[in-house]
Amino acid sequence: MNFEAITQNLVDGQTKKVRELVQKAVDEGCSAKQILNEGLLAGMNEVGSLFQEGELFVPEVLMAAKAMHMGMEIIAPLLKEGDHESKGKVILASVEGDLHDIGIKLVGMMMAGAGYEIINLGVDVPADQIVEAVKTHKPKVVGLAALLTTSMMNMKTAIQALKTAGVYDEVKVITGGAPVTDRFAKEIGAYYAADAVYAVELANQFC
Amino acid sequence: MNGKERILAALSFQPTDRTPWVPYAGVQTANLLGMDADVYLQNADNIVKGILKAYELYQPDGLPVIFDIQMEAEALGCELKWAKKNPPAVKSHILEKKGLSELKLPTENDGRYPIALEATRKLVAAVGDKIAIYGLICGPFTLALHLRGTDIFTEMIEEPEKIGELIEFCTRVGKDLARMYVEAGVDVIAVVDPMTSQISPRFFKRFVLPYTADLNQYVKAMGVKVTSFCCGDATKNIELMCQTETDGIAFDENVDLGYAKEIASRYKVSFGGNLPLTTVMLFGSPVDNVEEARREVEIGKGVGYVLSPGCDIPFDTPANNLIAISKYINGHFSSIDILDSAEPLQNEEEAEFEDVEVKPGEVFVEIVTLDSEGCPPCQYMCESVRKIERKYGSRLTWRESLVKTRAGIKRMAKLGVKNLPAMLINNEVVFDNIIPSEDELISAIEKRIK
Repeated sequence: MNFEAITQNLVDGQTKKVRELVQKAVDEGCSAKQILNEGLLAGMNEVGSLFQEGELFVPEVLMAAKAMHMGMEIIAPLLKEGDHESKGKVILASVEGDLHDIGIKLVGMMMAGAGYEIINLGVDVPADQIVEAVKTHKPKVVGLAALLTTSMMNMKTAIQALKTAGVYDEVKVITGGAPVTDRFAKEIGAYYAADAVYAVELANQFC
Repeated sequence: MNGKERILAALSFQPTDRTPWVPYAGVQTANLLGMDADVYLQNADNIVKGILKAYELYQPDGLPVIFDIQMEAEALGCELKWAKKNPPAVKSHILEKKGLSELKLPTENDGRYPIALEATRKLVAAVGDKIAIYGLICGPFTLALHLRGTDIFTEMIEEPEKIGELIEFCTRVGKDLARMYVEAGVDVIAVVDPMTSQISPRFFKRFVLPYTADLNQYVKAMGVKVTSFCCGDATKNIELMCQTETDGIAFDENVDLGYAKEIASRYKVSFGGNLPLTTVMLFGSPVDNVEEARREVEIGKGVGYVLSPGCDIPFDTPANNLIAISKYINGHFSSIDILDSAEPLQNEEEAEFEDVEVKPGEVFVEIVTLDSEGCPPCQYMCESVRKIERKYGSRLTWRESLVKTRAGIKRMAKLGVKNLPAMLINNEVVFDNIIPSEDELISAIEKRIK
């Protein structure tokens, strides 16, 4: 089996084609693990680099993720324990006051592609809910997004709440969003990711 | 030229007597009134009061009536989440519950249209002969996203015809509001379409260019100017933006001003909108803001350039930062001007810059800066001393003193300093906001060395 076709079609967002090819690979007796790693994940990696380089935009990345999802539906029941080891849990949220969801969606997809288990708390998430989720899920990374100069300040509030609850030292906080800068992130005790791909690179350093 | 003439000239790609300045004062004007954004944006008199205050403080050449691109989505039935320091955000997407054919085109009486139009008429009556009044409408692509949600991104690929119909509808909504604004007396329609930076040129050509060009032609046929606003990294779409029959384009700091100037000038389209909202306007000092404005004017100056922020100015942006830019652009800025400001400066410990005793044959150089971080002239002034340091060896000592308090600035004013950074040699002010060349500095030192 040539996995390159899967990879290429995934990069092109050809959802049906990816589904067909994955099914074909399964029928030919390829292992689910191989299809995942050499076909689907290899494709998501390329999507990540192309997005970072400005070759792909949001619609193309979302289509690729959709294709990945379709392929996963076929191979998920066939994956054995240890085939798809989770690198750890990641909690994602747009902080209180912020209704933007594209950023955390993209980060979630890239991180899932890189082997993390994603818990997406959604948008407009108050600090105490983030603290609760950290206590419950014990993630390695907390990703906070803010697209507004005002909601950005609620990242600080969320980090303060993590400190007060005594769980700040157990996680790494990665922040992102249009108004966020490296300097701001440092000031509030977080790391800064300029884009979804960089967020994965940071997480890989921690986990 | 008055402000209005200046803007109309720039948007006609004609020369102006100086760089025009349009601060996109939106919710920040609510802050000027000590009012929350939600209260401000839902009352015509508040808006009029706020914009007149901005007019008085910022000496602009043009101002938007309302910077809130959720108004059309609200009138079409999307639920909003109101905020105290931001324009409202779209909370629910109406097309998740209803079909496109069920939506009715908003009229003068729907949503907050009556408020926007009443505020426009009052502002036009009050200052419409002096400055250009901008009516902002939500661009078709961003409105489609408000109505449909982020699914639109994959549907563009999977169901392009359906999305085409939706954007056609949004274009109609835009034309209608533009017409109402024009009837209320605005000079410029600004089509604000921030989400277009998230799609590739290929999709821009299909889902933005034809619709926006149609909308822009409709607006121009009414005898007013039309501009296109974008946010985010729109670099790859800048040229296509210029092809939408627009009179001007605006973008934020993610787009290189020099690059945009080159393209816009080729299309004889006005350009601007590059002042960084967070790092400079919100968190920077008045001097940082003037330095940034100065840097941008250096790059942008010439036909068609309009100095303006990247987008709606953040609520907490200090008024003094905007006042400083307006003084600079009107030719009256000096660092000492911030003495006039009502707001307290940072209350931190201050480095001493009392007179220092200088031994014969030695030289003491002091560089006084307002805020060296992010202040290129301050860095260059220090560098100029470092360059000649070796020549004098131990005979030369120098230090940088940071002025952070009002008292400190007063003391500088007493010494005769008008602008910071300033360089003192043996306790005498020698270079006031001028970075000396190596020869100039050496000769100034030679004159004063005893």
